[in-house]
Amino acid sequence: MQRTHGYEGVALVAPTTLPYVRQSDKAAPWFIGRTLAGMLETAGLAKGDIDGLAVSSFTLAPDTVVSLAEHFGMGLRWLEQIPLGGASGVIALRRAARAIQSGDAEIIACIGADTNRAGGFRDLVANFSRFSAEAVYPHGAAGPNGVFALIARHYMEKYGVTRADLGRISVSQRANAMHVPHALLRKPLTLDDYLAARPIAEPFHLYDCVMPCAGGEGFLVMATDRARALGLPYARISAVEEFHNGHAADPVQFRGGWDLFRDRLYAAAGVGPADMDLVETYDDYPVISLMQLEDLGFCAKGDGARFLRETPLAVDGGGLPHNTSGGQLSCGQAGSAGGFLGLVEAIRQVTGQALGQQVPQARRALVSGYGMVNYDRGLCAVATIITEGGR
Amino acid sequence: MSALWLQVCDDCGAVQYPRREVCVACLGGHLVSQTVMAGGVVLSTALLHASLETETPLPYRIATVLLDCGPHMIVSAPDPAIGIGSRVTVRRDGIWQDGDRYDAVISSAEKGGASHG
Repeated sequence: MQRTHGYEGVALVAPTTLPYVRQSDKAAPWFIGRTLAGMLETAGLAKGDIDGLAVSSFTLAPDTVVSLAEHFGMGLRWLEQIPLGGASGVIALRRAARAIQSGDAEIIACIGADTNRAGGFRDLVANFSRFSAEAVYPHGAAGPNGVFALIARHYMEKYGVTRADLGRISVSQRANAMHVPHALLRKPLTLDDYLAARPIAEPFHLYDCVMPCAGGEGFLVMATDRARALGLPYARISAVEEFHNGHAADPVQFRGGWDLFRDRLYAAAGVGPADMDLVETYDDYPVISLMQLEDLGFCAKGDGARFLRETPLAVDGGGLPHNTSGGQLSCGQAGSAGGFLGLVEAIRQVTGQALGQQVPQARRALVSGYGMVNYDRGLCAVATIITEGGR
Repeated sequence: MSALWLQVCDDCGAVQYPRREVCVACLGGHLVSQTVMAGGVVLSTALLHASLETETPLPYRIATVLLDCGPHMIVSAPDPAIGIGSRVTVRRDGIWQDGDRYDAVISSAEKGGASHG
C-alpha cells in the first residue's frame, strides 16, 4: 500500500532522562512532572509553551493525562495517553508527529515515567490484564519472567541459540552502560559472570532479567522550523510503523510482528538495515532483542546466533552499536519509561548529545519497541528510523 | 479419555482459552462452557526459581501446551519428564489467586512404553 504522507517537517527535541532510582515513595506525577521540568530546562522553554501532552505510565491510575494538566497547572489543547508499555515511545512519536503536521498542537511533550513502590511490581503483574490474571498468574506467579522463559526456551531450541550467544547482548550493554551516569547497574559484567549467575526462570538467569525501578524519559515534538528558531538540536523521522497482535496463530511467539512492516519501513526511509549507525531494541530480555534484530532484517531469521558471534554490539566494538546507553538490562526498567529509553537515547546519539559513549558520526538510528504481555507474548511491535536533523 | 471444561463458540465451534466474552474467531456472543478433549503437545517449558507469591513451591515447572482441539495453554508441569514434544493431558487443578490452575501429565499412552527421549 502506498503511503501518501510522510513525516516531513517534524523535529524530535530535548531528549531527557530523569535519573532512575530502585524504589520510591513518590507517586507517578512526581516522575512525570520532573521529567517534564527537565525537558523544559533543556529546551529553554516555559510550561506555557507546551500545548500538547502524551503520557505513558502504569502507575498513574486512577489519574489520567488530564489529571496531570491540573496537577501541573497547564492549559493544553491536545492530549494522548498511551498505555502500551514498551511500544509507548515510538507510538507517542507517531501520534504527536501527525498532530504537529496537522496543526492540532505546536509543541508536544511525550513522556514515559513510572514510580516503583515497595510491592508495587507484584500488584502491577498480578493485575496486568484479564488474561494474565486468570490464565498465567495461577501458574507460579512469576510475572513476565515465566512467560518469556517459555518463549526463550522454544526459541533457543528452534534456532539452536545458546545462553552464551544471548549473553553477548547483556555483556555488551553493560560495557555501554559503564559510561552512563544514570545507569543503575554499572559493575563490569563478563560472559563468565553471565553464565554463572543464579537461575531466575530457566532458561533465564539473573543477567537476562531487568531490574524494576522508578524514573522517567521524554522528548519534545515540534515543527523543524520551530526547533531551528529555538536553536535546538533535533532529529527527523524518516519512517515509523506499528503492528499489533501479529502472527496470532503462532502458539509460541518466535516473531513479534516487525517483519510485517519491515519492507514498508525501509522503503519509506529509503535505506536498509546496513545503513544504520546504531540500533536500539526493546531489551526486556536479550532473546527479545535478538528477535527484533532478526525480524528487522539485521540478519536472516534463525541466523541470530551466528550474527551475535560475529557482530560486536558495544559502542566501541567496531560492529553494530546496540542499546548504546546500556538499555533496560543495565539502566533498569522504570515501567513505561522503558518504552522510551531507546528512543530518547537514539535522539541523543543522532544529535551528538550522548550522555555516555557517543557513536562517532551517528546520523541514523533504528529504534524498535515491543510491549504488552496480555497473555503469553508481547502484542505490540513498533519501529522508527530517525536521522540527524540539525544541530 | 480425559476432558477439559472450556468455552466453545455456539456459532462456529471454536474452542476458546483464556476465557473470552466473544469468540476469537467469529466475534459470536454465545460462548458455552462444555467438555473438550484434553490432549496436547508440549511446545516449551520453563523452571521458575522465583515467584511473586510466597506460597509458590520452588522450583516450579511450567509448560506451554498446544491442545489438539485448538488453543494453547500455559500450565503447571510438575513432572520433570515433561519436555518439548511430550504428549500430555491437561487437567484442571483448582482455583488459585484469580484464575483456574491447570496441570499437565504425561499421556497414559506415552507412559505405557513409547519413548520420548
